[in-house]
Amino acid sequence: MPDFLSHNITVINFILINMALGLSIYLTLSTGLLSLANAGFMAIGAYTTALIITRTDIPLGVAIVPAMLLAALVALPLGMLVLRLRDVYLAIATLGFGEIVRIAALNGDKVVRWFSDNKDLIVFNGAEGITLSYVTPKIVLGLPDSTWPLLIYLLVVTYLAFTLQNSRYGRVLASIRQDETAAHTLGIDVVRYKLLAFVLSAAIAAGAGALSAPVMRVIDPRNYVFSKAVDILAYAVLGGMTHWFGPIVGATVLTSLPEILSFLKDQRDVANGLIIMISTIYLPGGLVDPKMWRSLAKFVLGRNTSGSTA
Amino acid sequence: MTQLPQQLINGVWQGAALALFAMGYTLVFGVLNVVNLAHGATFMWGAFIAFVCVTKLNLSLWYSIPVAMIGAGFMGVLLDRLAFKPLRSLTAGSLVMWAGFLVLLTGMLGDWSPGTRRVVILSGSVVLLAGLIQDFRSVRPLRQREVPHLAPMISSIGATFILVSLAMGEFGAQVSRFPMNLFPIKPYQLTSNAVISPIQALVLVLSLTLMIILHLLIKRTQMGRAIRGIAWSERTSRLLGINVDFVIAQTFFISGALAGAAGVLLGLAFNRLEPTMGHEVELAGLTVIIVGGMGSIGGAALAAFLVGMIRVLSVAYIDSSFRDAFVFGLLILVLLIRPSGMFGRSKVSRA
Amino acid sequence: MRNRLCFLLMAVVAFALMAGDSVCLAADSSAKGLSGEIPIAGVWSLTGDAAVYGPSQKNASELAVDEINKSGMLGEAKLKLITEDDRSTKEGAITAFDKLIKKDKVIAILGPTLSNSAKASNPIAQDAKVIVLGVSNTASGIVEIGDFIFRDSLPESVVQPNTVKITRDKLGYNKVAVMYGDDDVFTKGGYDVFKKVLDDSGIKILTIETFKKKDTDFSAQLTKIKGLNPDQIIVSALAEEAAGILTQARQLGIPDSVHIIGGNGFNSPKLAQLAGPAAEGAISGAAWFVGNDTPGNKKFVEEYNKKTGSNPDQFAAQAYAGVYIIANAIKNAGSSNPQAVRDALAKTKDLDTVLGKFSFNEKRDPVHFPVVQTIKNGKFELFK
Repeated sequence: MPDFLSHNITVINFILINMALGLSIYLTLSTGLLSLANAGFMAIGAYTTALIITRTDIPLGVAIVPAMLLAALVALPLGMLVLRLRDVYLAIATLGFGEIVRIAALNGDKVVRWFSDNKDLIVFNGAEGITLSYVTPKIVLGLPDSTWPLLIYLLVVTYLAFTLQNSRYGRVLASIRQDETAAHTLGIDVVRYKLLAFVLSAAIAAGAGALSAPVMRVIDPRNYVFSKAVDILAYAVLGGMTHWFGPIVGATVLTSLPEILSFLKDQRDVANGLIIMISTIYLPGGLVDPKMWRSLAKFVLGRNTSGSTA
Repeated sequence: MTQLPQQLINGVWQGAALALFAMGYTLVFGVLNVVNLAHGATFMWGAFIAFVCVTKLNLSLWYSIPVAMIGAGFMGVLLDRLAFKPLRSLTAGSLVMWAGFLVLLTGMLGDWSPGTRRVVILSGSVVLLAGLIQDFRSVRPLRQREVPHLAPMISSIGATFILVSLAMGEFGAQVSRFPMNLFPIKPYQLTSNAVISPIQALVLVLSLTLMIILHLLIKRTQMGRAIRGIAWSERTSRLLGINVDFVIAQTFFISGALAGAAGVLLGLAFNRLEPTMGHEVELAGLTVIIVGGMGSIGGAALAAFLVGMIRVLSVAYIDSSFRDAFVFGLLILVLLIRPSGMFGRSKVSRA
Repeated sequence: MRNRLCFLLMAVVAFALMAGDSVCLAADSSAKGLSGEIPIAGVWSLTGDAAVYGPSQKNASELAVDEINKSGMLGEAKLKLITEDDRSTKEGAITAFDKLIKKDKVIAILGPTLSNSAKASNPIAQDAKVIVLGVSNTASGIVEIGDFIFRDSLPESVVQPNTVKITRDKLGYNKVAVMYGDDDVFTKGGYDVFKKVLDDSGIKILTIETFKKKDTDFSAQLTKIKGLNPDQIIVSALAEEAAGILTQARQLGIPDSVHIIGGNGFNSPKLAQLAGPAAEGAISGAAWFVGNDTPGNKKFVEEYNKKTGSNPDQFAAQAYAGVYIIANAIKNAGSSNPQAVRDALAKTKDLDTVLGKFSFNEKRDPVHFPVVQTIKNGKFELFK
């Protein structure tokens, strides 16, 4: 492995996870839904996977499936209930959902014990969480074997986002974002499409959570607090909510930023905050805004360049 | 049941403090349709301003509270101008303000000699102020903007990061407290098994007073009428010749001042000041304004008492581990059954 | 063609790197005596949730390294301390460990501040055969990670039985109320031990109440407790929350005869500072006592005060002792080879530290005597 890779492999792992999380919220955002539930779904995915692989011999690649299914199963009724809400209301409702997931993970054992004869049963293990045993990473084809699943998953999710954006579905979702009422009058089943985006987004977040389990190794409720939800949102906002490449750029920048800015020490958060503020105010389309780059190119080159930058 | 009277007192005085926080929160929402997530940071700064007044400037508490309220109020105005206003309409003034703000931050955080630091901070502040004045005077913006609904919310999250981390730099991450003996601690015995400490009584009295003042301000004054007008329809108000931007600034001032007051009072009551103290109250505050009905001031006040009671009673009679779950459960329940809030009757935001 | 060349080049580079590593190791193990800079690291939570605890660990470790380098304890060699911030997250700790091991090639790491971060990051060090000395991890499952993982922070399972025994002998109580922070590994672990000790000694637990980190209001829990009339209140909390509990308990009129008994978390000057008169009479079991007459303790407290302007807390004392324990092992090993230092470290016995006579047991857990202390006139004193 080249030096740069081997020194930064953990950061790269986290970037890959965050890219997938960014894409998961991109799906809902591009439908015009501000949902902050993704940290909660990530928790569902991570806990499910951690429980499966610590208690059985099922490998990670298989354990991710029930994790994603469970998240989708939770997302379906939740979506039916909360997707009637708009904007800020939806944001707050989903925020509440995230907090409830966290509290459930923290106190889950108390609930489990009500239904079990074993009064010392430990499943979620409260604040200590679930610890996965460490496996020395093997280098396969130049990358550690912990990185490969993340990379493959990201490619799949990216492909999904890419095809979605350029498909009929993608255009339908975009039309809902731009004008829900108009989309409705055109005969689009707005509720169904919203629900589809919400459930898909939940499953993707859960998948990212599942694959993050072996990288994080300790799955505890502190990983999935309010600020994680905000982090995920920030990836999409900084990168841009109108193009699938946006969250990828956003996640890369924001995850590597603390490492790059480590000379700033305590003031890192100021820089973080400034980036979030300036990008929302002055780059409302995000870093990857085809429109912005096109007009920039036009301005610099002084001629009409058409075509996407992505 | 012997604990009930005391638990009710616990719930009531905390509800009162929460109400102060939530009323400012909901006021801004009512006028601008914006959730200002930096409200918690303003709350925290209010507490720290009073802390500086008491410990560094040796002011008495009675002067420190109004100073903190005014300081937090101006912080609210600045917040509006930096984080929200540019999203409504971008003016040359706001660009200048941002430039000044960046210089100010560099001055505060950079590794300068004391002399240079003073110069940089001073010049930053001057530019910031010039931009602010220009921004207020400008009638025609560079660009009237139509931004996504969530942009202001995200922008205020960024502002929270900055405000909290500035406080960390200034006061450290550790917990500070007001000096001892600032306030008598011997509790009043109300009944045989219920007590209230002087500071809790003060919180209750001051909160109720401020609630009444706010009510009169909104219902009886010219400014209140303008605020209500804008909440009803910004365009109509503009057509009627109301200086909308100025009224919004006033709204942010009131909102910030209330948050500041809540910060000082809770900081005093628990004697615990820390840069992250806004986070906790932020989530409770969100619940309160949703339950009360977004934009409804009276609703927020009532809901604050309700939330205070639920928090206390769930600990008293159920299980302290699930206290927050009950609060968030209430939040989701209200959103599902009555998104306009239990006490609200304003516009419903349903599809 | 070009691709193949590229691949070949990469393979050559990779081989060269591996070879380079092994050459390095060979040179190290044959080194006699000590010279040059020996890189060690501290991974602390300097920002984020646990930023309250990290800075005192950082200050204390820097103080210890300065003293060691000035004293010439390691002969020609000097310790080079690299401090990393884990932002109170597991991601941060994992990233910091990775960087320190691969890039800075440290031989030993102190920290990380939080137990759960340690569980996530320590296996990396174990895998790379780099020593980790936890100085504030009290949870179970830390030293079990492997033979390179040590800690000098006395787990609550050693401290609390002693506390309960001594206080019970003096105060003679039979029924208690318990309060603990359930979302924090440190306080939750403390509770688990308290619960076991109380059950074992047949003390009746009237109620178990929980709170969250950064909670400010405990009046609801305390009102409930007051109604149950416990003899004592057992609290597993960190100093900030403990101060709130003490203050509010007295405000609610819980009499002074009901003592509040806690664990290691109480052991910070912050407790008396934040709770003021309400802190009087609070009792806590601890691994270290600010007035210890252990060798060097007085000097440590003075120097720490000079450096930071406040008294050290237990986190600081354990970090300070940790650096000395590592330095002593390096000296005894006569080498900076991690394996040799590890072996010397495991043999640490009756070393004079600020914590007292210090040894590691076969599980690489610390062995020294805990104390029981109480607050009198705003100062910690031994509980007698």
